[in-house]
Amino acid sequence: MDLRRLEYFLAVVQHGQVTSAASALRVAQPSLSQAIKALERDLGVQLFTREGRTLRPTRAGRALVEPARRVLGDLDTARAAVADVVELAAGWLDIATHDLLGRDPLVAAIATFHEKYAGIPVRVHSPRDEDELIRLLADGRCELGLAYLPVPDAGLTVRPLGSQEIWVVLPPDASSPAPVDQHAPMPIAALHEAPFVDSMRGFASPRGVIAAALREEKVLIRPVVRTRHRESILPMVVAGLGGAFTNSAYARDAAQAGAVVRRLEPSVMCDFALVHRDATLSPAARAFVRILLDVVGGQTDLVEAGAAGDVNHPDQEKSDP
Amino acid sequence: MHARQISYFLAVVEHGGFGRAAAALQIAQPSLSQSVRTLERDMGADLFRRAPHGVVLTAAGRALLGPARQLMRDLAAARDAVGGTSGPSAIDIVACRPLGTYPGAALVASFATQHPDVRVRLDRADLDDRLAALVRDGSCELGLTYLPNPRMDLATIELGVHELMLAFPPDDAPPPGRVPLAALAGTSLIGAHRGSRARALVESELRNAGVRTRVVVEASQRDMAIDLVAAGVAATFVVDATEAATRARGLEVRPVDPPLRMPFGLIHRHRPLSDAAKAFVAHAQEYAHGPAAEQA
Repeated sequence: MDLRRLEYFLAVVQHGQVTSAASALRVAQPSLSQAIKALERDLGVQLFTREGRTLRPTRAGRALVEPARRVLGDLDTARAAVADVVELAAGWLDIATHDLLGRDPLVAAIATFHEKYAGIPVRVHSPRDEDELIRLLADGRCELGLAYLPVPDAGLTVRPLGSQEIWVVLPPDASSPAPVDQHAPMPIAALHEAPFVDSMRGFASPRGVIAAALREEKVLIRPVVRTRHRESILPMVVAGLGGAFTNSAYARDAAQAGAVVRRLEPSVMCDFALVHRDATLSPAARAFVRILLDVVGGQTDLVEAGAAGDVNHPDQEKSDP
Repeated sequence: MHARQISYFLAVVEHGGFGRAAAALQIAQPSLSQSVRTLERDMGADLFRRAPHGVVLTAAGRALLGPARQLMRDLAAARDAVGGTSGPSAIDIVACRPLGTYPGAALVASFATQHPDVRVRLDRADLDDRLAALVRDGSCELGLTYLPNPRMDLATIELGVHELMLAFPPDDAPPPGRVPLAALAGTSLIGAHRGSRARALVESELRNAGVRTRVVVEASQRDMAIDLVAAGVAATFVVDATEAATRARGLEVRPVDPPLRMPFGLIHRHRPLSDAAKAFVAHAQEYAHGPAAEQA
């Protein structure tokens, strides 16, 4: 049986005539009449008595109303269950991210995404460098990536999302070159020869952006330790080993841990972007991108254009600590 | 071949570009480029390719990295053995998460303070095999990892034990005391990545207890996991060494029943360690068994 006929049947019962039922269903009147006749043939009973333009359900017709509603309800349930599996309730959403961007803005986006789509777990990958990030995206192990620009050209779609300010974090002791005014930005020139806990060579950016800013000011810093463990940097700074460069999420932690936290003068900004394959995104990834754009202050309607359109936002500074 | 070519190659890797490496070595960039080109001709392969900000290693360059570092260490030891001057030394350590931070950060910070002439690099590898491979090919002289390491061809120095505890959002924590694993039945968790020691231990213990849970987010970056717990997404397992730091972020921490313990320590190849590595091992043992251990 074509289940659509049950829907037509219920519409005719509700409207009491074919004309208005047909316009409510947005079907042609003859097709509706045909469908009802076909349903009656199929069931072997007459469902309506016709009085002019008015159709009244027969006893058999009245008896069919509730079961028909249940069948259509079952159909909705079945469709929803399939849609859950196909779309937003099955599998994993795999995201590769630079550690700094993992804290901000990814955490906020994941928390919102989980609230809305609890059925889809999120797996966060921390590649060691840009090459690995590109590989994870290119071979499909990750659907979305977050990285600072520039991203090596590998035929991936790169959508700039915004810009983050780089902060300097210094040990809490008096020998650090801290300016007199606690809230004044730190002149980059004042960092000359200062000991630093450095991240390891891996992601070229924001390392490259920071290196360029130091070169511009003719400043050489003295790396005492290099680490690829993002979380180990702050404890080492607090232990007095040296300073570090970081984004506002980590600067906030550093301030709480008692470190000296300063903006830089001139300021150093790092643009970051969403990276993914040109292939169409899964519904889960599309939903995540919408939330992510919301989090970074973007406009959600830009995503609906699909993977083809590059989304360009004006630079925007992310959250103050 | 001159050892300088190897050290220049390593400097370009470390600084991520010829310009920055030349500045750090205080030599002219053309002589640095010339030296690396000679090494490339000698090796019969390009070692670097250009990238947006500087250069990255080719596959051949990556393969050379471990042996090159080992060569420089052995050369320093050789100089040392004949009473020559070996110059500033360096030590490369690779750790998995969270060991790179707990106890890695405190360990490296105190070591670097006491040995200002030793440059420390702390690398990260989250899978046992990858970590062991970096130690075996000489890229890193020491590995800081959970034990036992499945590769039996490496020497082991045990340093301590981590116990896994549960971190809850403050308004959703069970009463103080050990949380039985059975109490987790049907709950959501933020998990470490597959292949990590913590994930494997938690999964096998939950299986033994007949408890099913759901991993809703997988993230090995501990501070991300803590942020997500604070946002109310789910609870997560953390190691006891991070208890104070986790509480400082506003979360409640509870031990579990049965206790989930993971011994950790240093691994290295069966060959004499460099002086810097020996000093680091001694420092780590003192740190692990001395009074500082309680503050980790």
